[in-house]
Amino acid sequence: MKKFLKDHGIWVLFAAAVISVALAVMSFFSNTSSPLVNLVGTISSPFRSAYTSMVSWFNEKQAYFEDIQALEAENEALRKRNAELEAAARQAEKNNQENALLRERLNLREQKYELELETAIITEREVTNWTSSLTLDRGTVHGVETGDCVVSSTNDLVGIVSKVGTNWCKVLTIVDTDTSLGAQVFRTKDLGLAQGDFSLMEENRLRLDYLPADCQLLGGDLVVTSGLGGYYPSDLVIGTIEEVQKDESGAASYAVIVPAADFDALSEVFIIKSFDIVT
Amino acid sequence: MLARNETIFKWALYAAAAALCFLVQAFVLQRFTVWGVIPFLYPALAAIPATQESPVPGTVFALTVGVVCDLLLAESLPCFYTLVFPLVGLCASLIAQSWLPAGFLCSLAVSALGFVLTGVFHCFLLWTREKAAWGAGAFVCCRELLVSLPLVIPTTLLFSAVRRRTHLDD
Repeated sequence: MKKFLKDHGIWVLFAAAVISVALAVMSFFSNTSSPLVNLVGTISSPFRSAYTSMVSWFNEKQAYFEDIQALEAENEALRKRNAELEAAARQAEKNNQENALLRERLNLREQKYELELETAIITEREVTNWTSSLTLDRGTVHGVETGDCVVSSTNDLVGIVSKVGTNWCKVLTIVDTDTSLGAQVFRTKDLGLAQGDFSLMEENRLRLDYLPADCQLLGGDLVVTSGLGGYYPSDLVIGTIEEVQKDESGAASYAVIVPAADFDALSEVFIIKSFDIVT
Repeated sequence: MLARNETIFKWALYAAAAALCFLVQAFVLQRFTVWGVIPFLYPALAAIPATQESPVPGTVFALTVGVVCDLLLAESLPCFYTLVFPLVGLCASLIAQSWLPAGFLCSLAVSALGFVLTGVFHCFLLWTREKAAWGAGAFVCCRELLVSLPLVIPTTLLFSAVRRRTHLDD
């Protein structure tokens, strides 16, 4: 080993260092993804899409023959839920009208919540056991940028775009260790930082850190994006509080969040390309 | 000593075998989980060919596998595998030359080493970002190792076949 390192070690180290620095520099200076990564992703994207379509077709055929009794029970539950939501929507409509009237009387500016969405298909899920990511079939040609939020059809936050290529993008889900975003507990208005934790990632959970010392959280409390700083839209549903725990030092507490989005069940998502929110 | 065209042929076959492994990983293995983890072939792919070669070509091959992995996989560090895999390749080649002759046992040992080094580097990166998870990382690493080790046998057979095809005099 000593002889090898003496004769060739410096060259192996040099080659590894040059390639590492080149990849890191290209990644750092690129707003999207480094040219090599983009090339590989662009070439492999159609194959990923084709393979995923094939697998989805087989899964759909398999699901078609699922237990009909379970589907009937689900249908019944959904009917009840639909009736509840229709009642809530009627009440919300009345509230909106009242709100608009009061705003007009008080000369308050008009509220806006407009999102520009791009529909995307998931072509690949986690590729290693150390990250939680999704690959989508939309890229720079569709106007997708790094840092865009990705939501499900029910407006639940799925993740953040971390890399973009010509016709693909990688999304780190909200449970990934590289994801952190400003969050707010809907009921108490307490602010915190929702971030991935490797110990919780496998159970599809994330942490809510930097909570105020006097916060009174309850299990089931809804957590949404705070929108502070303007990087991400506000009021996107992150999930619900499962439990509150003390950290390793015992001095501060953090909450464990169950994401609202079911990552395994997703096949189609929406990328928020831009937003205009006035509250 | 192989002639230049034979050397080119040999490395073309190694590259084809590696490409086959990449395809199997991308289109089969990463589509399902066993014991909560995806079977992961790449550390074994960096280690096994290196056991059949001397340290320099073994390390360079592992470096190439690392670069390809970095181009394909999303990691928090853009050059993660480029940094780890040459070390895996070098250790694998030196172990095969000094302690365990190339074969199934050697492949199992060096692949295990590859998984451990990759896992340790992952945990180290988490620690540097103040998100230390040594216990959870070790658990994932152990399961990844156990789930992926059976794949070492077909991979060893594949690369041994390439070695036999290109070293007819051995």
